[in-house]
Amino acid sequence: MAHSDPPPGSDQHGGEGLLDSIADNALDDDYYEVRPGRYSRSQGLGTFASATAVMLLALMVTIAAVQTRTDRPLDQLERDALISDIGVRKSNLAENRKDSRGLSAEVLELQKSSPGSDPEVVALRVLTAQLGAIGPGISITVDSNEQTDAPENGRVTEIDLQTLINGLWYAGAEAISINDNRFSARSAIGRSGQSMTANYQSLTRPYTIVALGNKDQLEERIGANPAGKYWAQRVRSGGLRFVVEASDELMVPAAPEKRVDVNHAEAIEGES
Amino acid sequence: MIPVLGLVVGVIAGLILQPTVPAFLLPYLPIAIVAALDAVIGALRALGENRFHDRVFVISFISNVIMASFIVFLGDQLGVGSQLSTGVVVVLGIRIFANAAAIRRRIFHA
Repeated sequence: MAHSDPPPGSDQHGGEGLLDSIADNALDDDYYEVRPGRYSRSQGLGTFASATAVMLLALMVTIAAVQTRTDRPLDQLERDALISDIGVRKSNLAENRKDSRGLSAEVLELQKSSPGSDPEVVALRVLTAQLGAIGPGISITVDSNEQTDAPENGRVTEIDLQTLINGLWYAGAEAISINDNRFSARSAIGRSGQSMTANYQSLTRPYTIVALGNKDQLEERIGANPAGKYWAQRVRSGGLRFVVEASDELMVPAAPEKRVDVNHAEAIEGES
Repeated sequence: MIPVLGLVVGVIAGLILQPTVPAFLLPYLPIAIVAALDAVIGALRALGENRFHDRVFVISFISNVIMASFIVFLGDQLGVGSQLSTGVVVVLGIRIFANAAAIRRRIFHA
């Protein structure tokens, strides 16, 4: 064997780890170097220098502790603020949801009680031509005499149409339209140049008048009343076209808004 | 008695003054404290072995604090600050525990 035994008392550093050697030399060697020998008295414990060093340690620890402690409330404060914020928003949301539910219920209630769905009001609106209407009735198509040798009175005039419409009201019509122009209380047949107008809309030939009502009664009465007789005369003398068709399902549109609004006339109080 | 007085004065000064540590020094404060603690525990052990010497204590205290802080500073500059501070804390921690164990042995004979 080449290498000698380790001297007694000395450590076998080869087998020990770095950490063990650190632990073995935990105390600064200086303490052994400055005053060798064992169990001599400590020196300079009460000096200002040692006191300053200890004071420095205390100061550093205190500063660090204080800093950590002052930082913590800030974080805590922030967290608390966020939590309370969340709470406030949640309650806001719940409140809004409740409001929304309440308002939805209110809307439903109002829709139920709105005049639009009252049958009496609906009937009135049909009568005043505010709403379109369907039902049985007759459809009358009238046209001028288109033959080249047509007589002077072979053209449909506004008088002819006015007479016919008056006759239809008289025969019991509940709603009348001419070429899809609904008659309201404010409608009139007029003339503008060569063409006839209804609701200030010009009409083009042929003229189709739709009248809703009891179709049999309408058909019978329009043939018998003065308007019908007038038209029979017109057909005979002028060669006008006059075709009456009864139907179970006819449609009249609503009148234009301007013909159904009321701006100045007011209901008399007390009347019902 | 005077070192205890220093301890009290340090704590009170810290509490009263409550100085804010500049942001650039903040990472070094914990390391400096561990280093200082190592020096103080070592001094307590030397005291128990009757070989305390104020010069050694003060120099080891200052050099420990400066060296530890410098190593961390260097690590920060090199981008391995956290690894180096871990190393410093491990070494100083072992020393602290070893010295504390020596003190315990001396006091309790165990």
